Amino acid sequence: MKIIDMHAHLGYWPFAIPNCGTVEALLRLCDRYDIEYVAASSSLALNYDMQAGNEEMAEAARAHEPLLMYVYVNPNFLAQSCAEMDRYLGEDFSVGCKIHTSYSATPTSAPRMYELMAEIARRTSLVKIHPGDAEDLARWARAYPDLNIIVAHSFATNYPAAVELALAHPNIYLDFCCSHAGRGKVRYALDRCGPDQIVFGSDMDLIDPAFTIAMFEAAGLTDTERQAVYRDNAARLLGLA
Amino acid sequence: MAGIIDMVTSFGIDRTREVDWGLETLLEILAGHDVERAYTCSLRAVHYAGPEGNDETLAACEEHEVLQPVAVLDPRRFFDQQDEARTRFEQGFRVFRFFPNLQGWPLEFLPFVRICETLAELGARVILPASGYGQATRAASVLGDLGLPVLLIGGSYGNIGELMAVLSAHDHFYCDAHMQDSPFALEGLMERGGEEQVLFGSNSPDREFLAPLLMARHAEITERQRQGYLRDNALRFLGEGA
Repeated sequence: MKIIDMHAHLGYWPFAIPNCGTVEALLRLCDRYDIEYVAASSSLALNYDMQAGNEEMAEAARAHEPLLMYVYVNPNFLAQSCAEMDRYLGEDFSVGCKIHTSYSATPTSAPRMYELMAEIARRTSLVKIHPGDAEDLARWARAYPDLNIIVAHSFATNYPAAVELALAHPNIYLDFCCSHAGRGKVRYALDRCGPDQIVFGSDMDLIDPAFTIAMFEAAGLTDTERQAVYRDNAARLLGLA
Repeated sequence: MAGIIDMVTSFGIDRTREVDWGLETLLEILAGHDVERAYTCSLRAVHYAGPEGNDETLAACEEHEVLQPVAVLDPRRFFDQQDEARTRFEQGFRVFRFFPNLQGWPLEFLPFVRICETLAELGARVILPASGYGQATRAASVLGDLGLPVLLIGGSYGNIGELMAVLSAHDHFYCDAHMQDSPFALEGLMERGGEEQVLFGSNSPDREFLAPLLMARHAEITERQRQGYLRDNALRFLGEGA
């Protein structure tokens, strides 16, 4: 079945993994795993240069239909982040924003992160955030009910806390890709909060989609769950048919 | 094709989470994946009492043919651990596993080195974690000259370059790949680390068995290399030839 992948990156990482980091690598993985769309942010933007990275990501998304763009925003550069959002969020290939607490060295509790989130909520209905504090995420979910928040890696080994967060807030979405394939977490989330707030994210091409697919398939998905988590939930968030 | 040899499993209780890591759960996972042998240890030996846990491991392995025993040693206890190593070797344990990260001791810890010297004399094998930067390097520095076969587990994309360097410098060092989350990573490890030095460990039941298995299926390696990763390299590590 067709998959929509809500977690990917374009660009290099400082690790000795061959054949990664290019548009071609992403497209090859899309072909291999029947991925219809992949929403990606720029590794260059996360690691070094927000503006150059977003520009590179936009150029790739403009040229290759499967690629969709998260505009990377950085709480340390609020004005520039707003400018980046204003520049790209109106584009067809743009799906929302991406925040990374670790790479920006800014916890979700920081005032400047709250300021950035307010600016994001004014401009878009979707943000993906690399993990933060559950209390802050809950506050944002309540303060901005029209903003859908994808929680990347969904708290890793502390996934029950992420599931409780989703259970309490309908605009919280869980994305379980992780560098370790924790057993049982997908089934736990499905049983506790149902399939409607779980999206498929792979973290390609740092992580191969099959690594996360393995976690989903091992959960023994029903047809309804499979359709929801691999495609329909993401399609709804993206406004696709 | 012969079945899989899984070098990294365990069973018992996780005191930090309400999850079922019991022996039956492990056996069910192994049965679902054509596993020929799984090397395992009781978590009781890790978190509570080594000898009691090792007894539990032995009992489980005697009852279930698919399981092979891995003894857990704790260098903090030092003297009796050398005796424990000898006793367990006489009982048929050939693989010994250490948990420095959980137990808080460094790899340069002299009691650990002395125990490993004993294990080398016995002709045993050792499993060590290598999940952080420098851990594989330190293991090679401390144990490299002993000739003791060492399996480094838990390395990820972060320290894959370090693993390649250590494996290529020491042909009696091996690594698993349950946290190498792309076929490219497995291909790279086999090409630059050593195609006979990368072997399968699932870390079941904590981790999803299917994830590293899919990486092996999708990797662009020869069938002989795939067979090596899933089975034959473990035999080499164990000294059984292949």
